[in-house]
Amino acid sequence: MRPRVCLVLPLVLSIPLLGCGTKKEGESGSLHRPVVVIAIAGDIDSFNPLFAEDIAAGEINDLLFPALVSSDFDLNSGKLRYGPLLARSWEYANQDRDIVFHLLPNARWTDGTPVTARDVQLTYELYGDPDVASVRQAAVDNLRHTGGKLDIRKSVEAKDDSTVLFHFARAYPGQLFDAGLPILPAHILVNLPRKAIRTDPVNKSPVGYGPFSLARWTPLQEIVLQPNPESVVPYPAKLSQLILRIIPDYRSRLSQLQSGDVDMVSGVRPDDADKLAADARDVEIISTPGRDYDFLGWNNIEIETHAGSSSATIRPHRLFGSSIVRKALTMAINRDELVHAYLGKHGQVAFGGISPLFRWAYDDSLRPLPFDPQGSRELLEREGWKDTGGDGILVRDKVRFSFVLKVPAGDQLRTVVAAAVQQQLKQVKIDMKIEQVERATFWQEVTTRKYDAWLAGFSVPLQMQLDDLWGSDLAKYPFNLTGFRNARVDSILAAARNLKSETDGAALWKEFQRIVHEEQPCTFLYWINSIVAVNRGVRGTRIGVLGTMHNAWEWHVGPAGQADASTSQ
Amino acid sequence: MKRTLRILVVSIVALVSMVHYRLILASLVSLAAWCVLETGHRAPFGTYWNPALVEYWVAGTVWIVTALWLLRSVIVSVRNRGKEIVREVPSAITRARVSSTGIFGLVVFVAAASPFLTLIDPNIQGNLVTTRLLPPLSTGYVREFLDPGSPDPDTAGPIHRAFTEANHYLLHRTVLLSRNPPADPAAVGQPAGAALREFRTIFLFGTDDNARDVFSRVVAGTRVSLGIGISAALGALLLGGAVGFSAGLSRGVLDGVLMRLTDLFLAIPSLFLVIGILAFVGQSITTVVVVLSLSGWMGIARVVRAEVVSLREREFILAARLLRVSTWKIITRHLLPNLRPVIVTATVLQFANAVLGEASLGFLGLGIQPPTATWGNIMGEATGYLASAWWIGVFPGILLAVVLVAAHSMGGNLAVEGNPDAPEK
Amino acid sequence: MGTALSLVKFLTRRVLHAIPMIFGLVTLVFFVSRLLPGDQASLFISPGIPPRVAEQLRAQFGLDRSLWDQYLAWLSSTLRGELGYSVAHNAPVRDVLLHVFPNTLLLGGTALVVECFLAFVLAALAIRYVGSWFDRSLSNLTLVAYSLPSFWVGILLLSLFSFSLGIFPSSQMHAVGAEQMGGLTAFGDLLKHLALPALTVAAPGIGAIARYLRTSMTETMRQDHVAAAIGMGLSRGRVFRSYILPNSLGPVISVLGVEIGVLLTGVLVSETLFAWPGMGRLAVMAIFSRDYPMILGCTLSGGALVVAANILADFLRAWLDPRIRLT
Repeated sequence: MRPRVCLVLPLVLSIPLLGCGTKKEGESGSLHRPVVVIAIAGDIDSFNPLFAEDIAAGEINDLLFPALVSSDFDLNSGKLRYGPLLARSWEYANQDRDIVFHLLPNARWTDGTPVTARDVQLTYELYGDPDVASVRQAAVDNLRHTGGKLDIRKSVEAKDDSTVLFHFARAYPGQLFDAGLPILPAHILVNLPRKAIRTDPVNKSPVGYGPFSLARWTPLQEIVLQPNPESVVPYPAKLSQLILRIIPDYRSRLSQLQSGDVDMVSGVRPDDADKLAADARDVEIISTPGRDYDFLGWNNIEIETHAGSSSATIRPHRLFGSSIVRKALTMAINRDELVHAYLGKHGQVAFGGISPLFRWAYDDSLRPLPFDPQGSRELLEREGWKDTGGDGILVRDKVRFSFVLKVPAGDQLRTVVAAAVQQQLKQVKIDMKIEQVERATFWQEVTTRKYDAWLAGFSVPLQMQLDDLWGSDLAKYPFNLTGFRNARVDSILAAARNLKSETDGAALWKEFQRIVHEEQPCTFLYWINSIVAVNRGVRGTRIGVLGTMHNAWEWHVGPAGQADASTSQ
Repeated sequence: MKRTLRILVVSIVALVSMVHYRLILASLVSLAAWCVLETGHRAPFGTYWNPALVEYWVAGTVWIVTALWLLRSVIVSVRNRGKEIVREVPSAITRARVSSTGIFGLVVFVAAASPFLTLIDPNIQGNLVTTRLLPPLSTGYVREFLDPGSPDPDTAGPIHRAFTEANHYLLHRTVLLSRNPPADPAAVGQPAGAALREFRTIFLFGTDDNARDVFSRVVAGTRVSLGIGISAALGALLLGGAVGFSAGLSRGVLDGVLMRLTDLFLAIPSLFLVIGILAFVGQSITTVVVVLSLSGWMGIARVVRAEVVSLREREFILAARLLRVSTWKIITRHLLPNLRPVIVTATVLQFANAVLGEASLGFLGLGIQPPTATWGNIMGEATGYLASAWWIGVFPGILLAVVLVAAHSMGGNLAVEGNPDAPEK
Repeated sequence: MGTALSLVKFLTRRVLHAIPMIFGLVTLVFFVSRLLPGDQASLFISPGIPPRVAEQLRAQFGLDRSLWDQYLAWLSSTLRGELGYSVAHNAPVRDVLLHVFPNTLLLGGTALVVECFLAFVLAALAIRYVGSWFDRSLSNLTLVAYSLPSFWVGILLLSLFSFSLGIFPSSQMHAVGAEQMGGLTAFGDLLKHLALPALTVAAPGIGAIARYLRTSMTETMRQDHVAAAIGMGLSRGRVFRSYILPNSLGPVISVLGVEIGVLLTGVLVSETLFAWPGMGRLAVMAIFSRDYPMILGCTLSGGALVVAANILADFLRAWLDPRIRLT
């Protein structure tokens, strides 16, 4: 027996040694070949832009199926700027309600078929078809209706192979934004039954025409993109491979970045960003403000449904119904300390609901409510909330100021901030309990306004779009989570919708911010930067407001550790 | 070895008694006064009941009992000094049992006496900017305030006054904690009035991302985790015992149905069952206990049934039946006492599973909700800080491992003792 | 002839018994899983997406029908062998499962082999030096290994060997560019990625099986024929190989059958922790994304695996020990 054990043991022990051999190769490998490896947290949901919902999938699909126009965000003016992509030029007509796009004549799908105006037309038909159930349906909402109903074939006209005419219902700021969706191969999709497109295997082997094409997709493991040598939109990618590795664990993503196995990680936490900046010489940290904010949501209303009928009465919430109480809540929370402790230079206190990115609309004359527990206590007392029960909790009309804050599980920062807020509210004698709710449940319940209070976050689209969040029609806008209803805000939103130029709305938006500031429907906590860590050997990136991969065809690779050519926005 | 350990324990108890003499005294006064008040006939029973006080009463009782026990053992050892006492060399099994029981006793003591052992309220946060994520053995400052709202000058007599005063101290203290000396102007929510006392302290296990004292949280978590483990094990025992017992006694259809049901529950991934039910009913200590009982009774049911089936055919039961002893008597006099070892073993093992279950839930962030500390949710929280603050998760992890090992070793030993057929170790 | 017949009878009976059991399990999971709020369509709740999309999806996948109708629909799809359609993966559940099943089998199989091998070596050493410090500390160690929770062991291994020492990779099955490596290098790369997850899965099993083996070997050693063999001057190795080993395997094999269930739980934890692209990770993801058909598919295949392992264990045991009848 024993001799045999002795034979096997060295074999077992040699496994790590074998490992060391391969490790070295991996280290030197990734950056000397023109390959860039990006770590992403989850597998992407679809290679079809009709159905792709998550961010990584969106960025990849943009590389495979370029849109008519490219977009860029101008930080100085705070506006999106559009440039040619599949459309080499375009002009407005019919009092700016129509746009004529002239397509590049020589673009081809990877199977050799030319890209034509017909593709554009069918693409929009599919986006708008309820049978397809695309997640981007909203893009066709502003197209011109003919005879009271929407016929996309009439609203998006293919004049000839290389000319497309978009008829919009009116001239509005987001016309090019809505016309800027990825274009799909009509010759492949046209024959599929509309309801079956979602489940068709064609979504796994995408036929595109962009700078990259899909080389390999191993579900749950990795996505490998390679240059598309035929591409003229805009040109074949310079990298020989762009690999997206699926690494669900955050800590693993970071450790692989440090070991050089991975070149780019998004969503780095502020603490780690500072540590990486200090420790890892060949890693650059790019911190972009203004896209995401977290807030404490207070349910402003209580909906009482009447048994036996479908009617419902809406009345102010028993705790959060008054704007004075909501102000007192905001004043009880030390947002400066939270930002200072947890975000450092990667965040700023939020208020007013409009991103500082939109410089033309952002009202910098407003100041966040100060941290003032004493003032908060006085406001609450004025509203009738007093500690008469003797248990250290405020009471009014036998209602205790006690509620549950729902927090989506799995977000470290929000968990910690919730506990800090709990302690601070205790100082003004408000009893807050915390309950972590698993993510899918959270969004299901919060959009049906079942929670009293919650801690959540939103990402800001680059086209000013606030109807969804603040429109008073509660049935139409489930993401007006707090049930905020304000007639003036509604008219501001309506007026802004019909402006020809976005910047004409500056005065309206400033008024909007003052109203939101005054009403405090929720307590805005902080704007939190998107932090990306990237190996300095990756050149030509323009990581910023638009995300990471939007210009991946320009990327190339150089030796790490020298002055970097990448520019951050 | 044993002596040094005893000296260590004695000095810790003495030290804590000195630091927290007022807290301990108040707890004891509160308990004693409550007993006197409730036995007096001036008000219906329950007038003075306050559930927030129970933890202090339990801790006070445990503290006194432990102190007396330690005193006695010290006296005995002093008296025996110099005498040669011949002792039997304990067998390996006895040694293992003694050590696992000892560990258990210690952990239970920590759980029960936790209000005295924690220097500070486990949920109190220090200054977030300066005090968060401090490594173990960092120093800091504690300040204790008492709410000025004085207990009402009641005329109800000295006992009632003592009761109210003690309770006021127990329930209306505010403790602040900071990294820097008390003059720190950044201290949040400074209560009015002068501090009752202030002292330097050591964050033995460091602080977490909310600037809370990890040591206090681990000690407080011990109580919750053990409580959940014990209650869930008892719940599982009740459920599994009932199912197993009725299946074992009744042959045929009922037996078949019950055992298939047991198999069915065994086959469901328990994690799945637990997450499903918790998402539906919401998470609280009670629901977690119920859910863990529901997902853990099957093992006990099987063991109990097997034992009942085998006992039924034993000679002494047959003899009792022939003698027309009533069924009830057979069950209570003969079956149950013989089932005891098996039941105890299964329950101890189930206890280990329940503690583990709570830890796994906390690890997933779906167990008891913050800020209540449990081993599970401290560890769950710690996974975000594996590289930056190892100290958050290490200590509850070690405690969990120790308790699990002790429980398994105890369960194993009990199984060997209870079963004469089992091989010796 | 007779044994072959009884074997067929045994297998048929066990499989027939198992079917209602698995059926009941899946039914129960179907209804319990619907206790969770939300469905696959709620994945598409987001400010940029009009609420009507969720409604269209519900209609398309029959999620707006009654629970009972959905159950029947799923059942008929399962009888056709498709196991339903997963919206999250945009593919039939069967295809997704078939794709990842080999990975889970690799992890589970490796863990089982490691588990048996290490347990066996440890038990043999313990028996060789019975009562020594080695035996005693081994007994404690195996108890510890058996008691520790998988996630704990996994995190420990991860932070030690991966984050701190950097010896083993922390996730996935292959390094970047593994497809260009030569055969041996690629194999080494796979082993390297396999080491930590497999050890995480195997740890509790090593403890349990080593303890069982040691007990059953001690028992065998005490029997008369072994004593006789030693008395006749046979070498230690010979006695061990010919007498002790075959006689102590029986109970261990039946433990192995039970151990498969524990193994599967371990696989679930380990795959999630180390991002191993297998069934366990799929199942956890499915629970969180409300992918009901996938949840059911994973439960079904997991349940079938456990049952199959138990039948196999019983069969092996009977085959090794003719005294046990196959019933």
